[in-house]
Amino acid sequence: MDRGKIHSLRPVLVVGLVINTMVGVNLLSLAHYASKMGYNLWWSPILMGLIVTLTIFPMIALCRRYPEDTLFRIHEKLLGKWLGRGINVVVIVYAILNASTANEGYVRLLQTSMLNNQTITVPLLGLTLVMFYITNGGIKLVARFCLLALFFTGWMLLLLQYGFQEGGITHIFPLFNTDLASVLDALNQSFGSMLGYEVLLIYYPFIVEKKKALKHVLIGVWSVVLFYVLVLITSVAYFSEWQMANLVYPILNLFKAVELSFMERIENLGIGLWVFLILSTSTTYLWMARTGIEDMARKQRLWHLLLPTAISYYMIRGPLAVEDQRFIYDYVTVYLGYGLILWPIFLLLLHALRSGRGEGA
Amino acid sequence: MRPTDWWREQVTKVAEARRHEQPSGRGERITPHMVKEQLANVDDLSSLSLTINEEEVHVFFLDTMVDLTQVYETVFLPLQRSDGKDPLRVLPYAQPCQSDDMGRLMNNLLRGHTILFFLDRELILHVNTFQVEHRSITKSESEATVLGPQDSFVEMLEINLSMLRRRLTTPNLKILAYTIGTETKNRVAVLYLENIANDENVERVKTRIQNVEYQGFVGMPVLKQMLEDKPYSPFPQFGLTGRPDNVTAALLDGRIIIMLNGSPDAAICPASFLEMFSSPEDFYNRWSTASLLRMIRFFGLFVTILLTSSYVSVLTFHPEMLPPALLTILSQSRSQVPFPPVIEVLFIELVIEVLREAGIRMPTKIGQTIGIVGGIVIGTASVQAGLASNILIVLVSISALLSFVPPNFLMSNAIRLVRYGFILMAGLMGMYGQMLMLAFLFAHLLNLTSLGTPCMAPGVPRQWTDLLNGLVRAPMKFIVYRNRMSRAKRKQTRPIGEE
Amino acid sequence: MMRWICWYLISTVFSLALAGCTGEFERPALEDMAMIGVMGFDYIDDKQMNVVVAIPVPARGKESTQVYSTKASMTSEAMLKLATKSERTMTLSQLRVILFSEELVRKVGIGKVVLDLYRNPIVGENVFIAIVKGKAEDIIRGEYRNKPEVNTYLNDLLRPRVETAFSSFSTIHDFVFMMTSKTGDPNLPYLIKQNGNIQIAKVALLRKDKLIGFYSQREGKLVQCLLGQKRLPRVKFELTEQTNEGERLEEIIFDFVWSKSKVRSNGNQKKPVIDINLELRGVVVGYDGKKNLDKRPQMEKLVKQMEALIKRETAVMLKKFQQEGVDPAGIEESLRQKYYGKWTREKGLALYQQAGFNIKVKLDILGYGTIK
Repeated sequence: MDRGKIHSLRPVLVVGLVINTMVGVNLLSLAHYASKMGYNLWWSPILMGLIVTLTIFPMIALCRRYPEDTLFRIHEKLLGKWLGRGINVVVIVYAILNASTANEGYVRLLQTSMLNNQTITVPLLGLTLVMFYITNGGIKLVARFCLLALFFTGWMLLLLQYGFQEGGITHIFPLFNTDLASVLDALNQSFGSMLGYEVLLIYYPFIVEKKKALKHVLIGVWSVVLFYVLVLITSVAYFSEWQMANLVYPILNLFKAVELSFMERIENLGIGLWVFLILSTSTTYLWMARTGIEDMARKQRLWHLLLPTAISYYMIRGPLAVEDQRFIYDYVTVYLGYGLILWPIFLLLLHALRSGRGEGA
Repeated sequence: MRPTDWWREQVTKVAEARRHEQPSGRGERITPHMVKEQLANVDDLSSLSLTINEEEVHVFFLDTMVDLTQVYETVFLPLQRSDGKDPLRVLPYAQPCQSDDMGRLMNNLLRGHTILFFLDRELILHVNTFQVEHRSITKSESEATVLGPQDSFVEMLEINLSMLRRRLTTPNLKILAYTIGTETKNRVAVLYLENIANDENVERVKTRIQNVEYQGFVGMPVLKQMLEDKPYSPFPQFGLTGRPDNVTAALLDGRIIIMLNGSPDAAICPASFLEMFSSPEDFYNRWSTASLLRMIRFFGLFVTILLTSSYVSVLTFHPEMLPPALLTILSQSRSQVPFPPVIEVLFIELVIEVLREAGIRMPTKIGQTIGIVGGIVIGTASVQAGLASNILIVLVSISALLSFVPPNFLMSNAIRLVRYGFILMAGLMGMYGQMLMLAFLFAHLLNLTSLGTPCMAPGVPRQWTDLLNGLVRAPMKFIVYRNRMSRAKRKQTRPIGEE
Repeated sequence: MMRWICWYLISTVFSLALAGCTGEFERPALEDMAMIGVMGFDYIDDKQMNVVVAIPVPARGKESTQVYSTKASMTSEAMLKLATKSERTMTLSQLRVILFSEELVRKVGIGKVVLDLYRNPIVGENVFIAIVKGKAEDIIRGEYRNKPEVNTYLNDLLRPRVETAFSSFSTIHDFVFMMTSKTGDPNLPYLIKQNGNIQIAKVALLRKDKLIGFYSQREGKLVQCLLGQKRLPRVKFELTEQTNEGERLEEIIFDFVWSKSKVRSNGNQKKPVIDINLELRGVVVGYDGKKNLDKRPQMEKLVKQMEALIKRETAVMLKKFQQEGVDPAGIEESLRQKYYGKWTREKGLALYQQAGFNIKVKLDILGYGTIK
């Protein structure tokens, strides 16, 4: 609905958007990614939260200077038309890659766990179409969907108690028994699960209460950290170190531990409901790509949305071999993400230089 | 461009074109002969040529729309006794017609007015003598409650409005009247409380009604569909009720009511999705009972859309989800069924749907028989013949019962419709298909708006106090603020500080 | 206009998807699947195993069981071979129990089989593992009078109950956890078929995935207490009481309603000392003795006696384990918690064997029935 620059993101929507864009496919393997740290991995999200918080400040600082412009417009203003557009294309590619990463990871999990004698075409097609439909509703629908997804999936945290009952919480001791190399490795592997807040650079102009935006984003980020810590502590209690290092989807096994009297193997339901988390991530990124194209074209057309959707579909279903895809999703996307979260610092410097030299403002 | 906008544009174009075509019948003086000519072949037209006090008076009225005694008492008798005085003085309710506006004259005549031509005085009068038989006020059939007021709207707009006036004794209750429908000339009333309802919303309703161009409306649901934001959605976006107490509550909450002559329903707008699951009885019951019932209704929504489709996906894709005891029962009952679960479920669901439809069309007594015959005979026989498993019959019955729980009839129909989507998706992709459909359904619901306000408002709350009258119904003491959905001018329901 | 096109596209693609995939509807449904409930593995030689599976056949009235067996070296290979023997599609989705013959566990180890099943996402996490005396095939093919069908029977038998809580009821996850954890030795229930019944006779103790010994039910109860089990099965205690007429044996059946164990080490790498605090609460179920349980001093005396008994028994048991170099009670976990650096099992065992124990028992008797 809200196609124009309407300030439509109320605080609660901002929090929901931040949380659900960050939580996505990577949480499924979080304990696996960080397993280098052994039983100490449960506090790695806190470290990542600190890094995220540090990178949010320059982002907000940049956005405050351009309160009505998305990152794409800022690029064009600061870097000039052609250089700015070049960078914009990279950012758009990054957004599409992230949408694909979420979809691909999820669809592969589906294929291994729930639909194990089917090809991924139909599930992926369905996922892509729903993603398309939601994104077509604009940022407000995306944000509202994120908040709803939070309600639909948040209760699953309660299921953690089943894993918790089984094992020993004492596994978390000794508290800091690890070395720097493992910590850095774990952070690098699992930082993909923290990406998602950088879309802030794009939706900042749509936020209603811009002055409190920083606070709301931080609430979102630290809620995510809290969720991750809870999940990881449960994993630590439930799994042995070997299991965390060797199980690709520890969450899947945690779900399997749940046994209800009327339903067993709740992982089918849980992984099914995970589609809400996947959609809330991929739609945000798809919206980001679409906004990028719109800002560059300076008008709104349906193909601005269709194009990234189709690309993200054919990335997964197209001619790319699975290994190449994995390389793109696990490395290219994450390193582009690192670039993007540090990029605002450079832009701020540029802004300072320009305004210092120019109007002297 | 949104389809509704596009539609409106088309409609305005047509309307303007028509306005140019008909330069209206003005200019010429109307004679009784012209009236007769226009209403040739209209059998119920009474055309009398009388001489009252040595003055020739032509009288027209429709037999079917007036009461003859009343015409005699209110029109002829005073005229006869008037001794040639000015008829306008004698007949207090009479109004002069413009002598050249045929259209309006026809309108009045067709509405049950009596038209008087005083040829000598060159005067045309019309008197409202409308008097027809109508259905008396009865209990509401479709929204019955145990407690609370029992009256419901009838097909006469005047009576309906009077029922509301009786409840809202305030000058702030405004009633705007419109005439729509090129052939039927339906009267539409838009009601709102001026001091509470949002002006912007009122304007929106006004423009939408004025832009409606259609030959005629046989009932409020038709008009409602043309006024709603997203006409293609299976879900209603305006509330529809036949109960004056519902309407009063809505008015007090700052909503706008649209009523149509000839239809015993009123549309409430804007309406939120959750309100479709609340009944006026929620406020007549104690808050705890009401909250429980509301939660059951909402929970029923999820159960009814997920129950039978889960049967399909569990049996086809995820047999590991069954606990051992259930597995034994299910595989025993399924062992003779020759169809795959999708077909089995679709078959039984359709049978239930057909039974429901047949039950509605039949007279009450036969309807009951059909229900029993269908339910027991078809159910038992199909299980024994091995066409369906008995567990499925149980599940389908539960989900059918739950689908009738929402007090809003249109909502319960919509839910039954989307259930088929869930069953097909479950047959295609199992639990994932169901969840994907659920995501799609809720994305669609989030995208719905009612007069521009999102329908899922209390679900994704616009203000936290909405939750007190959403999934639960808090004690009256806590319901201080009006629902944010209606964007009311005065936010509190009682004068605390603000006023 | 745009919205129209969206809708059109979505509906077209969906209908295409539906039309194109009608084949998907013909997946085997519940009644076309042969759901393996019990798998048994027997030793043939170091490479090959005999794999036996039991499949319940649903029918109204009497249930029956299909049993298939084949020779294979891997579980998945066995599934491959078995699939052609059945008239229905075989699936592991309802696998509940895995049985291993004692010989297989002793000679080859079961890690390979278990991990092969653990890898399979179709197999649940709550599959019980047990070791059987003799051949697993005999248990699966056995006739049990007045018992439910063998799949249900074994599943019910191995399901955790208080009465049989002396073994760990290892599910596949628990076993993989214990096997790969570096702080203890796995234990599994040991089944014996006797007189047409199956009994959980004792507890089998494994090192990694190989059988190394057994311990009794009574020891098992203490081990479970040390492992942190909250609800323990009943235990019979015998006290010798000095009375005027000489020594007298008092018997008590005690039901542990709630128990808590704290195992803490002092963190010393040279001379580790492990403090074990047992807090037990329970009810006297059966009592044969002269004490008047209503009288406080006599009750306190009983508590003291029982505390001493439990303490002695624990100490004896732990010493025995320590000398054998096995750790079913996971005592090493307390050492690991205070150990900085890279923890290995060898270090753990070495520390464990040096450790001294400091056991404290606190018992509360909450009730003693309706006779004083």
